[in-house]
Formats: sequence, C-alpha cells, structure tokens
Amino acid sequence: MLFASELCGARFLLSSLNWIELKLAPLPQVFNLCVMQDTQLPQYIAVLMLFVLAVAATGGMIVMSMMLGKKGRGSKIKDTAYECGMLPIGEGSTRLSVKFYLVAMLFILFDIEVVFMYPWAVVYKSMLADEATRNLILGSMISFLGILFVGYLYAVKKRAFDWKS
Amino acid sequence: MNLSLMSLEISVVALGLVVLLADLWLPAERRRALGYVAAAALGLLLLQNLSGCCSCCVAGGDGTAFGGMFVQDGLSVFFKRFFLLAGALVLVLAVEFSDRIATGVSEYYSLIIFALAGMLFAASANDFAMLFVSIELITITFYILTSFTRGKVAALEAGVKYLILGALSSAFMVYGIALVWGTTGKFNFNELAQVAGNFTDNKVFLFGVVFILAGLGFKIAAFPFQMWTPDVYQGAPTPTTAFLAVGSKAAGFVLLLRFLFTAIPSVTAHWDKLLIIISGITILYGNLCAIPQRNLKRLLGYSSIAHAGYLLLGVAAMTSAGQSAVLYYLSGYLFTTLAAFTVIALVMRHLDSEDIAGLAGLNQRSPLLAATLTLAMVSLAGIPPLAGFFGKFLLLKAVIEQGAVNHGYYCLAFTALVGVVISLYYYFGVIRAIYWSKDAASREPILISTPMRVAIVGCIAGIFWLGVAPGAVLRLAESAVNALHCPGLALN
Amino acid sequence: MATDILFYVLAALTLIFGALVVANPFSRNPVTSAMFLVLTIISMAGLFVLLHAFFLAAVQVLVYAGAVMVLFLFVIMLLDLKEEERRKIKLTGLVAGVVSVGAIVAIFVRSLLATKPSENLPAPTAVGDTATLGKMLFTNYLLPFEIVSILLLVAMVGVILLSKKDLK
Repeated sequence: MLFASELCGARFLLSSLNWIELKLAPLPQVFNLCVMQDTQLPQYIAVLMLFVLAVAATGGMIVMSMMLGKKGRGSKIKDTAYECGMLPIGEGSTRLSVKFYLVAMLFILFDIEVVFMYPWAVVYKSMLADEATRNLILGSMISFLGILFVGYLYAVKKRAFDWKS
Repeated sequence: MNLSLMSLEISVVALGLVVLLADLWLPAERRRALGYVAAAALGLLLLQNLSGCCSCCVAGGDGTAFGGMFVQDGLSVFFKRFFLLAGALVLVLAVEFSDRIATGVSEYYSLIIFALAGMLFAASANDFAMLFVSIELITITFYILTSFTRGKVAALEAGVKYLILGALSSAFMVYGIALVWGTTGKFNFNELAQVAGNFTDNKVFLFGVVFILAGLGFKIAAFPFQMWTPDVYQGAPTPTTAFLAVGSKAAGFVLLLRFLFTAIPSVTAHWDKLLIIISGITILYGNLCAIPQRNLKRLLGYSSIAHAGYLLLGVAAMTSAGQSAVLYYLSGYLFTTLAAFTVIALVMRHLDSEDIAGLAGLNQRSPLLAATLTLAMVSLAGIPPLAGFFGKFLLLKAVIEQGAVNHGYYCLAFTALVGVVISLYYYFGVIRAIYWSKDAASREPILISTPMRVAIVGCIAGIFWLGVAPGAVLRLAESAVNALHCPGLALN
Repeated sequence: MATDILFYVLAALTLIFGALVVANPFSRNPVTSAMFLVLTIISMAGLFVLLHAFFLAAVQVLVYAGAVMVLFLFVIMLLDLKEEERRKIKLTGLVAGVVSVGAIVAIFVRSLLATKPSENLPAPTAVGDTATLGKMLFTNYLLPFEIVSILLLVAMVGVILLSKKDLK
C-alpha cells in the first residue's frame, strides 16, 4: 500500500502537503485542460470581479451590521407571531399544491428547449452560407421543435397549463 | 447524410407521435383499441424489415450515418427485429392490461413506442453520445412506465427506487465516458478501437471503462448493480415489467457487446477474470434469492438476474461463438419471458398481488394459459427440447471451449450448471402450483381475446421453434456478431 | 498562473459547498441545503469558464441555478419538510458507505498517480464558445440532438401523467 507506512503522525501531514504540490499541480494537464491559449478567458475577469464585489458587499453589510448595530433583546414571547391576541397554532408554512410542481417542471423542459435554440441561432447564418450544411440547419431545428410541439399540444389539450382545473 | 438508413427509427418515432396525438382527439372509449393499431403497425414494420433485407445479403443495407455515430450492420438489424417483435407483443399485452390503467391508456402505448425507439437507437449506437442518449431515452421512459399506475403505492415505490438508482448509474456512466474521452479524445467506437491499444496501461482510462461498465451493468442487472430489479419488477405494471425484462436488458447487452468488442477489444482481452467472476456471482445470486420468493413477478425478477448471468457467460467467453450464443439466448428469452408475463397479467387480473398461490386451479380455468406458463418455466429452467435449453447449451459450449485458455472458464461452467440445478427447484414450484394445488380461489374460466391468443400461440411457437430447429436463428446470430469483429465500414 | 489558482479555489469551493449540501453541521433545514446547492452549481460554472466552456457555464447558471433550483424549492415546499430530525445512521450502512466511497476514491487517486500527464494527446484548441458548440451540435451531433427532443417530449408527457390532478 502506498499510504500504509505514512499513515502515522505528522509525517503524513507533511508528505500529503508535499504530495499536493507535486501531484496536484499537473492535474489539469492529465485531462488536457489548461494548456490552451487564453483568448476569451480575460473577458470573464469582469464577471469574477463583479462576483467578488457582490460577495464583499453583502458579506460586508452583514458583518458591519453585526458590529455596529445594537442587538435587540429578544424573548420567546416577543418572537411569537401576533395573531390578534390568540396563540398561533401550527407552522407558518403550508404545503404547496402539486400544481406548482407541474408548472415548474414544464417550465424547465421548455427552458431546455430554448437553451438548444441559442447555439442554433448563433450558427444559423454561417451554416446557411455554407453549401454543405445549408439544407440541414433549418430542417434540424424544425424537426426538433416539431416533436416538442406535439408535447405542447398534449399539454394544452390535457389542460396542464390550466391553473383552475 | 444518410437518412434512409434510419427509416425504421423515424417511422417508429412517428408512430409514437401519432398515437400520442390520436389520444387527444379520439373519444375515450376508442382509445383502448389504439394499442392493437400500434402493435399491427410495428408488426408491419417488422415484416417490411424482414423482407427488405434477408440475412445473407446483409451488406446491402449496411452503412453508417451521422459521421459513423449511427451504424447499420448485421448486429443492429438483428436487435432491431428483436425489439420490434418485443414491442408488438408488449403492446398487445398492454391492451389486455389497459382496464387497470385509470388514466392515459394511449400515453401508455406511446411511451412503450418511445422506449422502443430508444432501443432501436441503442442497437445502432456507435458513439458515446448515442450510447448515452439512447440509454437515457429508454431509462427515463421506463421511470414513467414503472409508476404508471400512480394510484398504487407499490408502483410509485418501484418508480422512485428505479429513478434514484438509475440516475446514480447514469452519473457513473457519464463520469466514465468523461474520463475515457479525457484520456483518449475519442467519442466514436471505431476511432476509439484504433487507439485503445495504446491506453491499456493508462489507469485513468481503465477507471473510466469500469464506470461505463457499471452503468451498463445496471441496465442488464448484473451482480453488484442488481439491487433495483426485484422491487421494480414486482411494483411495475406487468406489461412494463415484461418490456423491462426483455427490451431494456437486450438493449443493455447490445451496447455492452458493442462497447466491449468494437470499442475497446484490446482492453476487454485482459478482462476475462472480471467477466467470469461477475457472471458466476450473478448466476448464483439470482438463483439463490429466487428460491424463497412467493410473489411471481418478484421471482421472475430474481430469475432475470440469473439470466443476465447466463447471458454474461457468452460475453465472458469473448469468442464469436459466445456472442452469437448471447443473441440466440436472448431470442429464446424474448418468447419465454413474454409468455410468462402474459400469463401472469391474465391470471392475476382480479387479484391484488401476484402470489404464486393465485395460480391454483389454472389448469381447469384455462388449459392454454396453464400450458403456456408451464412451457415458459420449463424453457427458463433449460430443459430440452425448448428454447432455453439450446441457448444454455450454446453458452456453456462457448465457455467450455475457452477452458483451455483459462481454467477459470471450467469453474464458470460448473457454477452455471449449479445455477441451473438450483433454478429447477423454484421453476417447478410454479408448475406445482398450477397443477397440484388443492384450494383454488376461483374456478371461473379466463377469457382471452383473439389478438392475445395469437400472441400467446406465437410465443409458444417461438419457444418450440428455437428449441427444435435452431438453425435459422443461429445462422442469423452468427452473421450478426461478425459485425462486431470486422468493423471495417468506412466512415462516411 | 492565475487560472491555476482560480481552478483550485473554485474546485475547493465546489467541494466545500457540495459537502454542505448533504452534511451541514449547522443547519438541517432542507432549504439551506438547496441554497448551498446553488453555490455549488455557481462554482462549477466558474470551473466551466476555466475550461473555456462558456456556453455551458451560462447554461449551468441559467438552467440549473435558476430553473432547476426553483423546482427543488417547490418540491421541498410541496413535501413541507420540517427541520429534518437527526436520523440514526445504521452502522452497517455507514461502514458500507465509507468502504465503498473510500475504495472508489483510493482507486481513482492511485490511477491518477499512475498516469503521467505526458502520455496524453496534444491539447485541444481552445474551443467552447457558442458558435463552435453550435457547429458541432448541428453537424456531428445532430442525431443525439434530435433524440433529445424525443426525450424532452417523453418527460413532458410523464410529468403531466404523474402529477396532473384529474387527468381526462
């Protein structure tokens, strides 16, 4: 076993740190990942900066309010919901109807359909200009949408979009 | 682009769409017969396929489409006929079952047809993308088909179990595909075969291959991935179970054969031990667990695990004799299993559970069904002169022939024989319940509709035909597996 | 290299958030788990960007972090899960889980160690933008794309069948 002798004491820690440096560094290259020229990657620095800024702003606000704000004294009575003097019964949350699930699921399916249309729209012009792919590009999307249109018809006729039924 | 190669798949998908649309405008009472129409259409497609290209001139209809992703060769033609036949028989069974489906009878038919389309694509898949998409089409359709009788808790439980374990196995398979692609950069099986020899030492590549095998093992219910089988078989509506046992398993095997022997033959050659062990354990596990079962569908679930083990014998043999034996055995398994599930669906119609005791007095109620189930059990057990016997004989012969190479094959053959002996016990328990049980719950004769009768007689004829006159199908199977070993088709 | 550092940061975040989804020591609330799943998905989108799979990264955020997570939350509310009480973990299950996960991880690590990065093919060119993906999808991978439409149709029929209250 590779680790059997090293499993004891601090030596394991040291060697594992060493291992991370040695073995993990070329890890991306095992899968041919990292050795590409970065042409588009720098464009995403802005996204990263925005992300960091967003985390910093929200986190900062929470930390600042915790540091600067004055903590109110809460008690159990104070935290209960006010219901005209009655004691509240049961939980605040209720079960949702299964209708929400149906709508959300159908939304996802049509969402994925639209996701496929996006790259299609991007390459449509260039593939139309190309003689070899000219007949393919429109037909492929029409058949894709045609099959899904059957699903749409089915959903409409079965009143899946009908909230009241 | 060679669309004419795919005319069969396109027609099946179109049939599914037509059935789905017909549901929307047909009055509810006429939807039931839609199943017969669909079965007849599948039968016509099968006839057209049979007459279109005979077995001896396979080269005529061969070719690849979509950049070698879709391949039409002897193997895929064999399996496509297999799936069409299974689909037509299951549809007839589904019509019989339809009075127990509260809502969506025609959806049931169309989902069966879509699963069939997935199997047809799987038969032609020659690329990891196709492999994954076709497997998912089959599996996702089966998730729905399994919990179709949504009022029954057992069906829902079976559906959830199948969904969770199926999603897990798909995840393993996708991870495996990603690793294989990451190391070799190939998606196409033929291209992968050219470079796979260089990667036999690459551990990451082998790791990916193991994960893909795990995903396929789930489909065929081989040993470490068989957990779902009994529960799903028991809980699912009977036509679904029948289609799962025959179609889904066969689709797993065609993909397994193509993956092992077309895509990575140089790796497979070193893995005889793995296949021997998996096959042996699967046989023993399935047969031993089947013994205490009292529920007929659950019993057949365990028996289907055992049969996956028998089929793996032919895969483990790694010769074309073994592979053609797999194809032959699957053909026999098709008729036998469908016959058994048909009888279960008809006899257990008015019972809540499919307990073996429900078979009591079947001999008086319907001699035809009693004889059918008896024949099916005898054939599954592997007694001459029925289909199951000759299939097992071919598989064992292929394994023993390899015994000179590796003595493990002798152990495997012995294990398989032990499994057969064990299986005799529980198969004959079923037969005993038909003929020799005292207290029959009901004595009223069972009515069988004419199409159902035709299907049953067809299954019986198939069981006898494959057992007595194996020549024709065996020749077909032998020419079919040739496609595995000489994938010399030029990529267009 | 900046991308290397980013890779490790994002990979670590993905793992940490992923662990917090299933085994959060501070909260047993399923909604908290779902929110951590969003964070996992977003850090994975960052990894996709590093892999030059820009379209995939956008889809990851749009579909998974957006739509699928909404569905998750709906289902959580649908089931009306309370703070899940701490279940007793069966010892056999725990041992089996640890052993199998440990075995898989050990095999994977060993196989990674045994594989030299150099024995791989030349690196692919940096493709992953939408136009390249579209071209691949509508030429080489046209057939799987069409099958996906059948898959979506089946899913649509299935979801209506299984969850519509009174189906005609």
